[in-house]
Amino acid sequence: MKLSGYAIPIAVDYLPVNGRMDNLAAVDALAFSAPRQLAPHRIVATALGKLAVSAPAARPAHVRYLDTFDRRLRRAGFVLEHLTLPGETGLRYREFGHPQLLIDAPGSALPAFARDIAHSRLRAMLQPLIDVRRLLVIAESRGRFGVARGRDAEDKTVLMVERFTASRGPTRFTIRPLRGYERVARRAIRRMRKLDGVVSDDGEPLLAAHDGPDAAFGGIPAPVRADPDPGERSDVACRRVLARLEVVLEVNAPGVLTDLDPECLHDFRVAVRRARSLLGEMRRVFPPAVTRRLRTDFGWLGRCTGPLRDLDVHLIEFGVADEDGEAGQAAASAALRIYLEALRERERCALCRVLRSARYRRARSASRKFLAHEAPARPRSENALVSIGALSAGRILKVYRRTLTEGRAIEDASPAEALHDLRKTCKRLRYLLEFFRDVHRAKPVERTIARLKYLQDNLGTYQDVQVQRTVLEEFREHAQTSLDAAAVAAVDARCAALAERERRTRTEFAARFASYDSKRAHQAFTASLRRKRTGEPVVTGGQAGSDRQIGADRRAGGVWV
Amino acid sequence: MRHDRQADMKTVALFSIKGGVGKTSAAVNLAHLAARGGARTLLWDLDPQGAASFYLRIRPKLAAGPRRLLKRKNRLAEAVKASDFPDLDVVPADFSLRSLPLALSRFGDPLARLRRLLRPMRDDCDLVFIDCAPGVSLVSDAVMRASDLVLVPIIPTTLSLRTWTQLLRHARSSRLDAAIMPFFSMADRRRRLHREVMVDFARRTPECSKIFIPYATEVERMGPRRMPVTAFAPASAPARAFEQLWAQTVSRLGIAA
Repeated sequence: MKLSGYAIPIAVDYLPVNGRMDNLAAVDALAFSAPRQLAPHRIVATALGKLAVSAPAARPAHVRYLDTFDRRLRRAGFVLEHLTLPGETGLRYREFGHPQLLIDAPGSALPAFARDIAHSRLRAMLQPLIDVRRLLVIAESRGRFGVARGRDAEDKTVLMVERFTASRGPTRFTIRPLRGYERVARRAIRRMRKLDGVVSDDGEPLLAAHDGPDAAFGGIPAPVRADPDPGERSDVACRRVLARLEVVLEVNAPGVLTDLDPECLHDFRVAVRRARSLLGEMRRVFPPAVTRRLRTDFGWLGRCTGPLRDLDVHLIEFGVADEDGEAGQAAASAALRIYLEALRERERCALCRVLRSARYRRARSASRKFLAHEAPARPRSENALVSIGALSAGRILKVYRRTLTEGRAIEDASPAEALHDLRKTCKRLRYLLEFFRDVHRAKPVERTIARLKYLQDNLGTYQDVQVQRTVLEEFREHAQTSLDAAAVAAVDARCAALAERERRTRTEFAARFASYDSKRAHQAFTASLRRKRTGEPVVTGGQAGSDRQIGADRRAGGVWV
Repeated sequence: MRHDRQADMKTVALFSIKGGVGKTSAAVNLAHLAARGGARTLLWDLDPQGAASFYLRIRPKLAAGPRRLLKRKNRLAEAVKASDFPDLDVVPADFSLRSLPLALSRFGDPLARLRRLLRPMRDDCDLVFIDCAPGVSLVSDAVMRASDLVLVPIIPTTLSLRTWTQLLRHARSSRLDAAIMPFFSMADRRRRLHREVMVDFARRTPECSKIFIPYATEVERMGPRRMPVTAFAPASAPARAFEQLWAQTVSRLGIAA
């Protein structure tokens, strides 16, 4: 019913001023700016004409622009503002570059997540866009804000004129029409246009605002991949991939320390695991002592980040279950959230200690020092000079074969560990394929990634559901005395639902694996990688064509299928 | 990029055969709470006295007369006026609505007419509250047909309870199968009669809301203040009661608050 932001803004000048059309057409909000020296109250009085005006003095205001670290709202074309006035707050949501509000939610506190927003429609609009991302203050503006209201004989507001004077720049006036009173708004707009020094303002206030405290966390690291050059030396290519992963760690570590967004830890942890996986898979590319040292450090970091990430996932998963659950589960859900948040806080403190420790600093420094050096012209490691195309193709094929062997061995009666082992092998393969997807740019490789994702979804869900059930059971043990009977029953019911989901996921596995183990796709994939594996050796670094390198190329290959 | 539209629009009517039982104050306060929670809300004032329009400071004037209002589907959208509260709009009433039953009777299927008029509002509106005039008429039957839930305020007195029985009988005989939820309004717990009537009625009527709106000066102050009690005295007893009643209504309608 409100003047909808979805409506196409109407060029006011071309509408008939009198007659019925004048009442029917919607008018969007319109902004003007005027130099600071022009008295704002005179401009407002001119705009409102003969209407009775209630215009309290402008008050100090703080406008915060909220978005996620990866700017999801901005990319979708929306702006979320949080306005703070003395004794008053509110959220406003609009399209980028348009003063017309899609939602005005007075009384809303500064939210951290979409779920914190009490206004149901705003929450419903933001949830699909920002998902579980934290809302950060990416820009802010301070100044003085006032709303003048034009009132009719019933003392009803028929037009609002907002003014905002930032610490620098002109004063911005926004005419906010109200539905059913469009004619009044049109008159005000006409009067504003006739005023000397007042001009239409099409600018977006967000762009004129200062950087907010969280503005620095805006960079989205590019996907970490090797360059599309199959002939490159393996040590050079792997060194570059590791350096990119090191950047991801560097970018996300401050976000983990300040608990900026769960995604910071996610990216940090994935980079750690990928780096460790790369060092493990691409054997004999770096000197053994370096590989051992880096793998040990990344392994340690992986273990330190695991518990906190698991708790983040539980909070997200159980949060989703809350919304779907029945009202009777509310007490159990609230207690579970408190329990998980307490555990999370403990783990977060522990991880912060790790990230501030001397060991972490030494590890990063050693890694950066190694990566800063150029690859030696005459490396001792036997796979260093092998072309990345050949080495990675051999390794991908080997891990791929392993996924098939492990998967084919799984039967209905196989233990859960067999699925977990396959899940880990699939993850290793996925990392390899993603690192080197540009090296082996071919449709069969892309298709294999898609097939693998489909299988991994099943294996990942199976693992997650098992872990969630364990967490719930631990929670039930922990909270048995503090929860009432209804809440304990709700926890039991959720455990039973998870057990049922686990059973269903396990049953689905066979069909998913059968789809992954398709003969036709398998042949196309192996053929495309075999061609790469038998490619020409590298001709750089003074070692090309040496016996050692050719031997290494042969070792990297090997018949496997 | 556009956001998806929300779920279906729901219609709630405030209706009673008896006058002066608190229909309008309930309609205005519930509509205000719905809008404050984030629902795009329309309050349709169908009472020729125009009390709901008055409470929200809207001039009691309907641009089109009842017949013209009923004739075209988009007439209702044209009559909408924004209130002073975000997301709360009003279709005001004026005295010409006294001829609404007559105007309605001239259409082929009068009972379905209001529902048809509301249909085009679905894109802009999540909730519609209809504030009905007292008494049984063709309009009240059409409102019951158009509503997902009919809230019936009852004063805990014998005469008011009598009209509840009459309403039920009429709804049954006319096959008006709307969901009906009665609730006590203007209840004074200090009076023994009120207490006894409430207990007895609640025992006999399981669909009756356990929430009652107390008799309070704050509700009467809506007149001079010309705004919902939930806006000018949100911590008062009646405002809290309206909040509870709204929570129960949300649950009955099966919508997200």
